[in-house]
Amino acid sequence: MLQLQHVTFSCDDPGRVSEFWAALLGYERAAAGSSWLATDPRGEDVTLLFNKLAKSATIEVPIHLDLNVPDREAALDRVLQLGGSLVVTKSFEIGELGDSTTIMRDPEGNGFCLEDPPNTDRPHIWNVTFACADPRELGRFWALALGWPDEEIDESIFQIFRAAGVGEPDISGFHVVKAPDGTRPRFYFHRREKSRPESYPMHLDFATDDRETEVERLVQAGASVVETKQGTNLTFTILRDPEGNPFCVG
Amino acid sequence: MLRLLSITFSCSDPERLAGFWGALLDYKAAPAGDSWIATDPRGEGTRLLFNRMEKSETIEVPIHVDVNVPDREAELNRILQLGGQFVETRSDSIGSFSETWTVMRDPEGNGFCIQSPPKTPPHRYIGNVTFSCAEPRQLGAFWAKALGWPEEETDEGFLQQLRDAGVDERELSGVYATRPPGGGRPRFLFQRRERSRPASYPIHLDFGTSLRTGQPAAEMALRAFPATLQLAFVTMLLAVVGAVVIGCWAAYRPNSLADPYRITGRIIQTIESVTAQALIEDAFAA
Repeated sequence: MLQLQHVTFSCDDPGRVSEFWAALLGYERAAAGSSWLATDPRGEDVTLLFNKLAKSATIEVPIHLDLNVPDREAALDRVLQLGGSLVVTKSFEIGELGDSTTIMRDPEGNGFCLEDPPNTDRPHIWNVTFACADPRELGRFWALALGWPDEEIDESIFQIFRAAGVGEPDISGFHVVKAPDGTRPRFYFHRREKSRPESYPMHLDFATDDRETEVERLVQAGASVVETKQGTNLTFTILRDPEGNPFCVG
Repeated sequence: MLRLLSITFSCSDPERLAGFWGALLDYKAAPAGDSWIATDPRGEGTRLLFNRMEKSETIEVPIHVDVNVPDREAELNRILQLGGQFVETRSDSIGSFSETWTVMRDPEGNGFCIQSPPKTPPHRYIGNVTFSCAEPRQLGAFWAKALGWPEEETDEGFLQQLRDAGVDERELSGVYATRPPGGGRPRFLFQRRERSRPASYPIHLDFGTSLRTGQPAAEMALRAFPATLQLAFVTMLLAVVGAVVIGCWAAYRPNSLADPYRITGRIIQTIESVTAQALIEDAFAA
């Protein structure tokens, strides 16, 4: 099974981007060669790695982070102070369901979202969100890869959608998979077309006990191997999930 | 210059879809051979043409229409009764600015928006033909030139207020609008979005041209077969120009959905659709 080790950003200026994210999330950061690491001092949330690497210009990133914050308006101001920028605040209503999200960009233009659900005590990464063609299928792949349960979505939500006049394929337009022990982040999948850049600005790195066996298992589940690389003290394999999103297994 | 002749839907059931859109816009729907045509009895709105044709399955359509209605909430329920589907009601806000619209689908799944901006007239009409695109300013300038329409100016004070709210510079170039001189409709709106680039578009635009005689192109096309050929030629030329533009874009994004194979397919399909269009125009004239 895979364990999420980092969310990794390709950056022009890893120092600058890591500073932004560390300040926003209350993380501690440390240099590691030309890269920077930002870790949660409470040990609760996922580590971020910032590499100096080329990336394609993207309009909308295929993978992004959703942050939960205590107060969305206050967080918006904080992001601007830290050197980020605003895209828009989006609200949606479907029957009795409704939600607001503020979309922002970090100093290198990576889009991310802010939400403020009740009982949020501090900023944290709540979702890694995949914009994809088939949320149910891609969600199933990642549940299998992570050894998480492949749960059906609560039927009562679909009832609200249907009552509001929503039809297929919009009803099946999203899916979520989460660790059984409630560990963050969740993996969220929604049906969107996004640019498919050659070099992703962000990807996920995973650890596993037996890389070769794991790679074989993932390929059977629908992943494809890009290449295996020998680092200084780590061998890792770059794969793509069934919709082409790259990730690393070390 | 091009003149917008019709917004054309590829559909599996032209009669059903013409009935839906006819009822939605208070147009009159009538058969024309194997196709259906819906026209505005007031003579103002753009004609809709419904052809029985193959189309790709799309998640989000690259071209859609925004319908302005007097009462968005009331309209939502009416559209559900007509056989449409609801997607969501969306509001976007930046600082003190806010905009609300409802996303719906027609009976064949084509997405469209309904909105009630201030000062909406008492009748329903197509306010925008909206292109979801990578480079709104470039693509918008292309279409403004093709149509001979001026760019709709954005108020500098408004842009400054967006900047003051912390809006990213690249978002400010994310929208472009052009409309017929004198405030005619529909407006062409270009917004920065990545959308699926299907091999067969479910919706496309048909144009006439009055280059040679200065006559209104639609009348010309309906009157004489040679004019229809001329229309076919210009549409084909446009398809090739469009393909070159998309080709450059595809070269820029080599792994994107707009790969050269699809583009070749699209040219062929556009030519086929032009032929179909010519036949329909003849049937309609007769």
